[in-house]
Amino acid sequence: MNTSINLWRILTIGLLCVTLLVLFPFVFGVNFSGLNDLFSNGSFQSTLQTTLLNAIISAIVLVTFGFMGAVFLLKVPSFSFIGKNLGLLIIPITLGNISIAFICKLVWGDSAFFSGIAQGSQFNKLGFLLLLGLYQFGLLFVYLFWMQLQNINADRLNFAIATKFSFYQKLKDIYLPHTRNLWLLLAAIAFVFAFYEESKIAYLFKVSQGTNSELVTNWLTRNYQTNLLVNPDFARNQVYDASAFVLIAAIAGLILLFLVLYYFIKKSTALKLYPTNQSTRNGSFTLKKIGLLFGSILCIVAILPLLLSLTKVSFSFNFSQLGFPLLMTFIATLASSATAIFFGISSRLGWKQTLSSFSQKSLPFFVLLFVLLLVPPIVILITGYKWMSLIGYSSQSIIYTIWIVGHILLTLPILGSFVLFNHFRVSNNEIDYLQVYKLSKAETIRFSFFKRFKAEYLLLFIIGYSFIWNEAVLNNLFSDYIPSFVSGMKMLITGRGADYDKAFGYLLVSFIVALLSAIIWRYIIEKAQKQLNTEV
Amino acid sequence: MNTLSRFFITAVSFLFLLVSCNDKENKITIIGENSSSIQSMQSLQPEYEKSSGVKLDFKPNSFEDAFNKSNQDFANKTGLYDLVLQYNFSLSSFVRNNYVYKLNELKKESSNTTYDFETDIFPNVWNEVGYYYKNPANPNDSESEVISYPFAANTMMLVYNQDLFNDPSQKKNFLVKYGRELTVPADMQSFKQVAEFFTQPDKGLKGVCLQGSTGGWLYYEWCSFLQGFDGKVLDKNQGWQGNANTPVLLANEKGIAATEYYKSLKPFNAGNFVTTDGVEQRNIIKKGNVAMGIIWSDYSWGLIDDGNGKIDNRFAFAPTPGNKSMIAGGSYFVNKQSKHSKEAFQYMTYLLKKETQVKMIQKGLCAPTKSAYDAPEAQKVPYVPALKTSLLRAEYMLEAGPDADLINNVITTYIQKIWNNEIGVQEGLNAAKAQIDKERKPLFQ
Repeated sequence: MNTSINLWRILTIGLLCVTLLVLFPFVFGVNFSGLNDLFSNGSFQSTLQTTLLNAIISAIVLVTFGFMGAVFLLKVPSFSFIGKNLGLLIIPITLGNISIAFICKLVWGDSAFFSGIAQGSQFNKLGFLLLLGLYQFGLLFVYLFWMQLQNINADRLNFAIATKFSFYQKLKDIYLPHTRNLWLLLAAIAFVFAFYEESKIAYLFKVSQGTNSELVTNWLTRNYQTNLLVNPDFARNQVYDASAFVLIAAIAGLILLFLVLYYFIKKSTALKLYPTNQSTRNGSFTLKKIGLLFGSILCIVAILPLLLSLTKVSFSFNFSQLGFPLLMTFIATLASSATAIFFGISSRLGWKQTLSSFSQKSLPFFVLLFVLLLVPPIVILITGYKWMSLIGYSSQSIIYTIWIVGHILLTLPILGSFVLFNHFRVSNNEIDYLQVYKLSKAETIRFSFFKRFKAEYLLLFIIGYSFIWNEAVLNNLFSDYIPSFVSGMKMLITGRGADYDKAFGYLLVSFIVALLSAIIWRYIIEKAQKQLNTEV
Repeated sequence: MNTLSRFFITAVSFLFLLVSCNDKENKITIIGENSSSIQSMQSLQPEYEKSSGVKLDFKPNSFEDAFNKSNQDFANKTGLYDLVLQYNFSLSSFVRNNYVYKLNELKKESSNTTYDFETDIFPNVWNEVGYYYKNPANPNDSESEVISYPFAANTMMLVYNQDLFNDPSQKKNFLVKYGRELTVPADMQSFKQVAEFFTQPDKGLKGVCLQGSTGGWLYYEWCSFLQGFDGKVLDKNQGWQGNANTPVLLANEKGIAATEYYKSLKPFNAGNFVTTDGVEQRNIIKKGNVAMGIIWSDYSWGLIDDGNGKIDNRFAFAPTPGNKSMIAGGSYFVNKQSKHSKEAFQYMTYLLKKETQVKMIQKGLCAPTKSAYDAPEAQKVPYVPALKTSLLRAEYMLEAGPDADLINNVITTYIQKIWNNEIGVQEGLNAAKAQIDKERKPLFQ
């Protein structure tokens, strides 16, 4: 048994080491010589503080919105019309940053409201960004929480009904404990994306020091560009020093957020306060109606901006440039999803006690896993160039392979943690049981994971596809060989070659990918329903 | 593993191998910002490939990506790009770091013996975008040498809405209000007057659309106004000149006058200013409710071209108000790691021939050669006469040393604060001067 556990652990640690290997040029390039200048640089300090605060607030708001939204939808059955179409809520996340910024500009760019935000204070701009975050991540979070709540054991719910639990009691004693791991996972993801937000704010508000609107990624990029005119080595050294400090701040911020949420949920669920039950006889019926209405509104919100943007510009539809990257993204997503699943299984089996939930014990593991995501994107870009100068661009096969491997490594933190979160449902008792009966590794994987998590793995694939499709660093690095959607869009909406009509043609491809994702997901849900009905 | 899974894995592997097929053709790889300059080169690609037998592989990128990629390629010596199209502020870095061939090195390798087009290049433009210190380690302003040929000669121009300027009722009202005919403004005073006149809220009209965003837009435009007041940012004669001790002139009386004038245009301005870059300005002007704008010459093509080969005749062009225009643009740089430097040089000489330049002007190039502008086909492009006049009178105005981006950022920061009334003109310019003085010195070490 020990040999088996050690094997899983070695495999997991090996994969983590390979992932962190990406950062070697960065780790050896940091010398902290410019740290004094950095500490005395007022703009850097204030930008970092704003970024950190914004990321923590955004994460808390988004995850709370997701949870509360899901609670409103609680009475919407999975297999109802609205329930099946709630899959539309995954569309915004599949669009990506640059598309959402462009749609926003098309739909609201000329409005007095947007003008007021653009000319307003930093608070207004970050507030607007949070609204976009609610659209992009919040709707997905609602959906993920809702799916999680659908899995609550029927006995527990029946007990709650029989003992006339108030809404507050259900929230505290059932819903919150049941979704605790999801709270922590989604908060971490929201934190990372808010901390390293760059493209939306840069495109929409043309961030600058003059308008006090820069976030830390904007600051790093601006200084890197300035120093490039001296030479690239000088620019790299400067950005590495600053990034090391930013990385430490990001890790500290993430740990702080994790602990705050962890103790908030722990304390809330441990409270012995039980107000009187105020639910009415028709409460359940009313809640269902509210849920259906709220679900319909959310679905409309998810697709309305896309429909509105269709009316704003004429467009030419051209698949020729994007056919190849769509195919490559498909291959990379297959590889990334498979790696994440493998990682999720080996880590669950390797550390069955520690990795049975998000807790203080598992925190170091997840921080290590998230390190790659917490490194500033510009560092990933520069180290990418460094790695490519060592590996060489000698053949296209090498370039394509490196591109795929790069995506596997860059997506591992998010996809791996998503898989691991789902694998928490495999109980320690079950793992012990399988080991007592000496099931082979292949059988264990098949029975406890593959068969159980088919739908989750498909959702993983859909989310992975959108991450890789909209990824801005690695795709940019290789965009001369594998046309990148993000680089192409950026080129068509900014700079001398800007052409909104062509850009919109580009965007349509992304719409189609997003809609296809939603359709496939709906199909799987329907199939699951039919299967369940047959079993019943 | 079932048959379907095996088939799936085989199919994916096959697709991967298929897309991995190597391309070993003899070719020149060219990187530059996606702009009318590189697009005009692309338009002649089939013609050149047929006549030379050399394949051209264009890699148009956004400005930031082209800038990063070319710098990383040079620094890492990966030799991915044979020919790099970059702007004048990159020249200093490329030469100091010995990344690119100098023109005389390329000429020695070439079989060409005549370079007639050289006398046709705007000398002021070439001197600004293609020359550098002979000895960068010990720079001497009187000792410079040619490094590269320019690919484009850019400047800023005044664009105006002809429909508004030719409107009889507007003409009549202007005459009544100011006691003179409505004409295209040629000096700072009349520019402001016309901007004020066309600001007519009841008709939804604005006098001007200024570029106030970061990313160089505000800096370049403000410098154009500073030039109109005969001012300078640094005390020198070329953008690439200078050292750690070059005096900063920014906050003198000319700088103050230019900034006060610039800020006085605020009531007549369309758009959000701080978010208005060249693209947004172009989109606002295209709507037809703005009388004037100061526009980059290489953005002019995008303003008049409707994408279907038709010219939007609502807009006309003139040199910027005042008696000077500024020089921008960039050069062709041949990578020292290139295995096709001869072919790249040959291609450059082809592009600079008059007949090629005339064709490229018709596709949006702001050509660096004079005679091409006089060709009848080129004259049909609405902005060509104004562009040539501007380039002939153009002078250095924009910084192009290692401190160029720093100066750009600091000036943008303080002019935005001045515009938003967060700081006074004098106070803001003094603060900008102090910051530039302090932060530019380490960049020269």
